[in-house]
Formats: sequence, C-alpha cells, structure tokens
Amino acid sequence: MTELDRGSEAFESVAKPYLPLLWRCARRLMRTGHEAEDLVQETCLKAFRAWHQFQPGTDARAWLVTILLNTARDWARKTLRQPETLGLNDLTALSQQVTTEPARAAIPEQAAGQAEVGRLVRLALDDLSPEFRMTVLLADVEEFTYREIADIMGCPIGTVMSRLYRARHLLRMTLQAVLED
Amino acid sequence: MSCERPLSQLYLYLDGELAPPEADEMAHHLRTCHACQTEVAAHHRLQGLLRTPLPEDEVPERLWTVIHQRLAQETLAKGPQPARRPRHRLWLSLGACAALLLVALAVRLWLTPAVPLVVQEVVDSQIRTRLMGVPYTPMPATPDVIRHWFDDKVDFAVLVPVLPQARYPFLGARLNYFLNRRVAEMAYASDGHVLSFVIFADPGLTLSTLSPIRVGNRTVYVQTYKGYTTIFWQDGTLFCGLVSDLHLPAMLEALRQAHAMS
Repeated sequence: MTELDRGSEAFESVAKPYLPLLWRCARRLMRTGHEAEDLVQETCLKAFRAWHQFQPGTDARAWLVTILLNTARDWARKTLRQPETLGLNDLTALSQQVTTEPARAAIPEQAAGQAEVGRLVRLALDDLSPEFRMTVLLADVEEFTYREIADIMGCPIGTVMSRLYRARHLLRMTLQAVLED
Repeated sequence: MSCERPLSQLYLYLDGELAPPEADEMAHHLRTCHACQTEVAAHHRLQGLLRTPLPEDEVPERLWTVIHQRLAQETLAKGPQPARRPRHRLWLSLGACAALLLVALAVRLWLTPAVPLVVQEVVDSQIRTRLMGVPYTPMPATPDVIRHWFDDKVDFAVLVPVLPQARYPFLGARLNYFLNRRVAEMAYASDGHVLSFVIFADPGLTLSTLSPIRVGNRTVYVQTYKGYTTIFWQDGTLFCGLVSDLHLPAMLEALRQAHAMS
C-alpha cells in the first residue's frame, strides 16, 4: 500500500459519515438531483485534493460544507446559471390548493397531504435567495453555531444573524397556512 | 398581546448564542411572558417543518460508489512517487519552495494584518448588541451612580470616564459579555455616533501585538476592524477600550477629554 492509498482511505473514513449532510445541502442548492450528485462528487474530489491541508482534529463537517458552498458558488458564477426557483405566485397558488383541498379525510389522502406539505416546504425554501436558504438550513436543520456559519459562508456574524432573522420571517410568512394547521 | 423585547434577541437565546447571564435572564423572562412563549412555539413549529425529512433527502445508493471510484482514479493519475531525486535538484526545489513560501507569507501579511481576538470580540459585540437592540440603562452621568450600578454586576472597580456633557451626552451603561468574561460598558453620544467605553479585568491578556501610539501621557493601541475603530489601553490589571464607528481623530479627541480614566 502506498502513502497515497492510505491518504485516500483516511480521507474516505472522515468524509463518508458526512455524505448525508453534503447531500441535503446540495439537494437544496441545486435544481435537480443530477446537479446535486455532481456537486457532492466535485466537493469530495476537491476536499481530497486539499486533504493535506486539513488539520486532524479540526471540524471536518464545517470544512466539507465550506468546500461544497464555494464549489456551488463557483459554478453559479461560471455558468451564470441561476437555480430555477418558483416565484411567490406559484407558492400562493399551491398553498391555496393545499389548504382548500379536503385532504384530511382518508389515510391515503392524508399521506398525499403530508407529501404536499413537504413540497410546500421545499418551495418556500427555494423561494429564498441561496444565501438566506443556506443560512437557515445550517442553523435550523444542521445546528451549526453562528460562528461556524460565518466561517463557512465567509461573512461577519452580524450578517448571519440578519440573514437568519429575515429568512425565518419569510418562511413563517410563506408557510403560514401549514404552520397554523 | 405583545412584548417589547426584539425577536432577534429571542432567537439568540433559542440558538444557544447568549452568554450565561443573559441566557438565565431570558429563561426567567420566558417563564412569565405569554407573547414570547407564543413566538417560541411558532419557531419550534417552523424548525419541525424544516427538519422533516423529504423523500429527496435519501442519499442515492450509487453516490458513494461513484465518489470512491473517482478518488481511486485521482490517486492513480498522480502515479507512484519518484523514489529519489538527485540531491542538488532536491536542494534547488527546496530553495524555490522556501522562496515561494516567503513571498506568499509576505503578501498575506501585507494584505491581511492579523486582527487580535480582543478587537474582533469587542467589535462583534458592538454589532451584535446593536442588531439585537440591547438598550443602555439610562442613569445620571455621575461617576458614583455609575460605579454603584456596576457593583453587583462585575467583580472589579469600574473606572468611569468623565466627559463634558454638552458635547458627549451620556447614553447609559450596560453589562456586556465577551472573551468569556463580564465587561462594563458605558456609552456616550457624539455627532450622531455612539462612543462606547469598555472595561474588563484580565491579568493574563497582553496588548503587545497591537501597534502602540502615545496620547498625552498614555500609551494606547489602535486597531480598526469591520468599519469600527478600537483604542485600548491598560490600567493595572484592568483593560480599557474605546470603540466607535467615528473617525480616529474624533475618538482620540474624546479620549483626551476623558479625565478620570488615566
């Protein structure tokens, strides 16, 4: 076994447990599952190339998410490809559809209702700008601290706080119907 | 029914970002405030929704296999390491590396002067409290009254700056918290800006990494960060600082006018 082999094995043992985290982030940053797969692959390759710079004992979780976000940002810049998101009008229409449809009677319909709620959450998140979306996801879903988010996103803590405040406010507005259910 | 506390402050508490004294105070408030309890419940409902796994969150089975293969290709592409290079070439390349490293280091030092932690913390605490809308407790600008107010809050004798009231109206005092310690803070207004004096005790801290300048008979250390200017000086085991988004000359002028802090 060569040095490099050991390197890749060590890298894989550190990176693999964070695959679900990387996948969740990628899935919410990219429009399609295909793009999300590309993003996670590219992130892992880049992280492996920079593996010698990684300090053992430091936070691999934040390190990997930082690489993922930077890669997504580079792609968006290079191709000027904005993830196609639905506007507020589509959201309102869908929200009305969800709340007016009598979806709570039988069990299959209830399951369908659950799926609709999931879709609604996804749409509400997509409606946020990528910075707001990632800030709220890193804080509320992945439970990173403000300091970690500031480091990952390369912005001051104050910006994290204002983005989080604004993003939560917007989500509570768009998801009002579901939240009050 | 509403509460005058800003929601941003409640978020800091819920996100575990408040320091112990502030967090205790917030927990106490939450026991009795109905409006805040409603906000907490709404926030937890939103978090619950966001945390509900979506079908698409399931990692595709093939993903890691593909990554594993690409990593293996990457490793192969690099090829085996050359066993041994002729010695003179090794020295040459080492020299080149060292030179490159020096250039990179010089550029980095030139571009990004290191900002000491104490400066970052003081400035970030100013931004944080401003965003949170943490108020100053108003009180008469009398040194005795101000010192007395801090009596049960900090474990050192607070030095109170005495500034001409007509030019620097006293905004009030507050207990701040950074670098894991309690910090006494007194704020004055000046031309629509806030001048904050911060004082904390720490025998272990040193300001020597900052560049010193002389103001009157006092040596102070100046550093700007995120649009704020900080001026620090030491008084025995007490650390005093002045932080503001005012220009440095205006801050040095205020410092010259502050008598009692020498």
